[in-house]
Amino acid sequence: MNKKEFAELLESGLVILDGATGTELAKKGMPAGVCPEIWCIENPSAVKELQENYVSAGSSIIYAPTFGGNRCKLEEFGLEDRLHEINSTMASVSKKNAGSAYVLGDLAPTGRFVEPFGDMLFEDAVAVYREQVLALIDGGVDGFVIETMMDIQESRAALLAIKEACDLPVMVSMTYESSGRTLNGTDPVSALITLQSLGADAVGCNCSTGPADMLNIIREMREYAKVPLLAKPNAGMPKLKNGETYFDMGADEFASYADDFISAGVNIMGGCCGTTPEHIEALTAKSRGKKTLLSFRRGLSAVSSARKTAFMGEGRPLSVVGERINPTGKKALQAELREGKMGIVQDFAFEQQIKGASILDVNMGLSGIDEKEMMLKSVKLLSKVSELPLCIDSTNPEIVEAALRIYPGRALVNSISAEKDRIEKTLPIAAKYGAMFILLPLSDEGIPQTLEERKSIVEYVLQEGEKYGYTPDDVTVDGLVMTVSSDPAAPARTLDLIEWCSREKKMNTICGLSNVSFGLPAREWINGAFLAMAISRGLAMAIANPSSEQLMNTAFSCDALAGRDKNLTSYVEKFSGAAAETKASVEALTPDKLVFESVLRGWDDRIESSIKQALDAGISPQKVVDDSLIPAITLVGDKYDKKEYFLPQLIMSADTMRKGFTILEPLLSTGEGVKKEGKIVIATVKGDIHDIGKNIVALMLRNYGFDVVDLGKDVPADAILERAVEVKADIVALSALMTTTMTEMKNVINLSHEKGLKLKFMIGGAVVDQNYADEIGANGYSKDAMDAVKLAKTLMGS
Amino acid sequence: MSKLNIINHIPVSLPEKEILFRMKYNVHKTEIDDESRQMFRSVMNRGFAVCEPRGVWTLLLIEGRSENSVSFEGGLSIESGSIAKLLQRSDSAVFMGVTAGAEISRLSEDSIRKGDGASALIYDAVGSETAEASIEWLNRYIGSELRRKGKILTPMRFSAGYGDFLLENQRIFYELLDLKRFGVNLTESCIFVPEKTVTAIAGVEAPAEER
Repeated sequence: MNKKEFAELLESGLVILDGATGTELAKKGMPAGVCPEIWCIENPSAVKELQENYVSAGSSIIYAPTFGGNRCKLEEFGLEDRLHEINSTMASVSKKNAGSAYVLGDLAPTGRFVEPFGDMLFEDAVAVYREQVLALIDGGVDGFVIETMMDIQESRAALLAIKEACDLPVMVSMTYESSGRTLNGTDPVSALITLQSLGADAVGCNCSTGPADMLNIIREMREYAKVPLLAKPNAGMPKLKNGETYFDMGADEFASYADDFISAGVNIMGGCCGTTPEHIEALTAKSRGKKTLLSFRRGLSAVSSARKTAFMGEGRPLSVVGERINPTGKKALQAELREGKMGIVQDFAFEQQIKGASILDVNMGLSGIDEKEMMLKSVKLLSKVSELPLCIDSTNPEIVEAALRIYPGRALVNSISAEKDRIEKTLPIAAKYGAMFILLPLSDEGIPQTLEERKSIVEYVLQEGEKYGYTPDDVTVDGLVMTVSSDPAAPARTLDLIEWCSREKKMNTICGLSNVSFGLPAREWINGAFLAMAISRGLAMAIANPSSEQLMNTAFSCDALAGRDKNLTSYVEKFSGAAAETKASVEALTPDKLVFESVLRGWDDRIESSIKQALDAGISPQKVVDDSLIPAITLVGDKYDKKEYFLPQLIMSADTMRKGFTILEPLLSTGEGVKKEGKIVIATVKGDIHDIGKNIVALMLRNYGFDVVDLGKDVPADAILERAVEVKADIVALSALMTTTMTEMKNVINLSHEKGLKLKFMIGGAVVDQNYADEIGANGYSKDAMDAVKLAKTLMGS
Repeated sequence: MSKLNIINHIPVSLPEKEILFRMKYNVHKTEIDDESRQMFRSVMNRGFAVCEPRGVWTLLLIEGRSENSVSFEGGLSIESGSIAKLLQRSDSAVFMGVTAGAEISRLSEDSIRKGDGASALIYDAVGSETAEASIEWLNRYIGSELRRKGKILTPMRFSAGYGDFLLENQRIFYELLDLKRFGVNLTESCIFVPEKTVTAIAGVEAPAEER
């Protein structure tokens, strides 16, 4: 089957696939635990009967039973030497059984994890699939299906292996958990965008869910589909009864979903686990004569990572491409890259994501380093640690190809111009991997001075791109921002080009903002004003530093004014939230209320200045303590008890109060400072090394005025008691997290009694409770840090 | 014994809900202003960025069993009634282990030293919940692998230190899974270092018609 025949098949209506193979072969006697492929070779009559039944039931495409026919899977049974025989035989046998139906070679997971998410080299994964693909082609398959995939990178490896071996149609089908993502975290839209861009002829989903849940996945994808969609649901949701998995949806109920699937936009449908020829027959009958939706997007302004898609243009808010991962002018980053380190790259990625970047630009152009090696290192790292899609920024086609090949998504390439080298080398590379690209309107003659020249370059590159299947939606035009200080007319030319692209050509545009202000003082003002002007002319994207508050605030404001922020939701969310109100209300607070508010909200960076303001206003130190600090921390405790505060808020407030006390203590009129609540020795007992709970309790006790001696973790009983005696402790607080170490608490208390010490003991930890405290003779148990403070106060009699 | 299956990066997402829940966040009652929310989220993300969730698993055939013990191929034996019950219909068992790495614990300790208890608590919660999410991921992954072989995983998995499956059994996991490869150590009192390390055992069963 060539791709034209595949397209013709789709025009005939819903294309019916086969149903389950594994569960049906099990019914025909295939035992659990055997290699299914070799069992099929040895039991051809069972395969023949099943496949003929599916074709009779209406399947126009069936899968060859080669699901586990890759080298990695066959190695588990010691059958790797028979790989070619197994795959080619199953392909040719299936062709004979299929009659007039088409047969797809079935590729499935290797069971290994492919870089950057695992340790299998990407090229090794491609090679594993290539070997199976060539054997299946030898057996005469009509096309391929890559199915039940949970790893987008492994799917890409399989798809590339097929594309590099032949021109047969390929369908790719991922499997999604009830969470709506694959086990590895990829969502359906990101998978669709990545796979259709890389050349899949149909994309969809199979297994894991029944028809009802799978419908939602199809609906999610349909709006963005450039290719037909396929669905192969299970016969309902797997159910557990007495620990056993079974499927209970009958054929008629299964087929009753056909209309919904067609309406949702499915073009190809079959069944997975638990479905039978009866299910397929019912599905065929139900869908007979019904046409499917065959209008698809031609292009798509979106890039994807393994976990997220970034859309751009089409009236959406400005997309910011974070510019920071670029060594130019960044000495610390340069030094790290020269040492082969990636710490700052990771920090920049994290910071830009938090600050609102949609895409991360990655540029590793630096003398003295291996740009390709560092680009690959960056792409692999960023694919793991950041969910943002990447923009591959290099002038070297070889580096662009290496990065695009390994990148587990659809990337943006920065950039392709009309220069001969870019058109002849970079453009076909970008096309092979389905990347979007930034069109830079310059040529081998340099930067055009006039708008008309720039327009003609844009037209030329688009024409060249069209030869590889690019549409204007797959391209974003760089406004080519030049420095205003050297050419006052430069910004106007850029703005005109942006307007022409966005209004007339309906294309997305992008700008590297900072160029415009080069050489000028207070560059942020120029950059911000230029951004506002560009957005008003239609700018869709900006390469910028999202940490610039002024730029990002300008972008939010312009999006609101340009009608890109529906109902002004983003603007209102950003600027009229509690934080903004808080800041405004803080300014209106009296000094004593400001101290109160600082403790209440845990503003430890403001407590010093607020206390100073209160003292300057003539409020006595004692009054600050009595009327602000104490009431505030009391309210915090109440809020925690009512669950209006959670633990970090409680700790932050207590921490802020302690800082306040520290400032006020020398100023109090008694001259004795703040009275300590009591002395506590605290430790995690011998054998136990868990100490976060103990640490938090110690911190809270200190914040509430106790003198705390923290002995750390894994502390022997005699060391705890020795120190308690030495510092004249009032209370000993013991922590343990394990059932095996909690018994050590008893040893400490028993030893104390043996020594005749008059100490009070309080205990805490995940595995202990009041009953255990009573049992071992402790004076009390606290369930958490706040409770520990209350208990300590009770034990001190305050 | 089947080979050790090593997964050098477990692709879990930041388990934000679980982290908040661990820190007593109540979705209906807890009030957080935007500034604090952003700060907490920033600490969570920073913590998650340093987690290195990795895992390993292997499968052992069951060779014998009694009411209170199960013996496996290679001479390994577990004395536990609850494990014997868990594996009562299993022909083999999966031993699995994951770690979130040492860096997240170091961040938490640094924060405590600096007197920043809130960040320390959040980092600790990020490490714990990332390890939990990782063992859950590994469990589901192994389940999907086994389903393809016509087997199913028991709905429950057990970790050492609960009930009569004593903490000392961590030594079995430590040796069998060669957790040293991930930089994990085991203390004399059978606690893993880094502490954000979790192990578990689950049974492998045949579907009903095969039994």
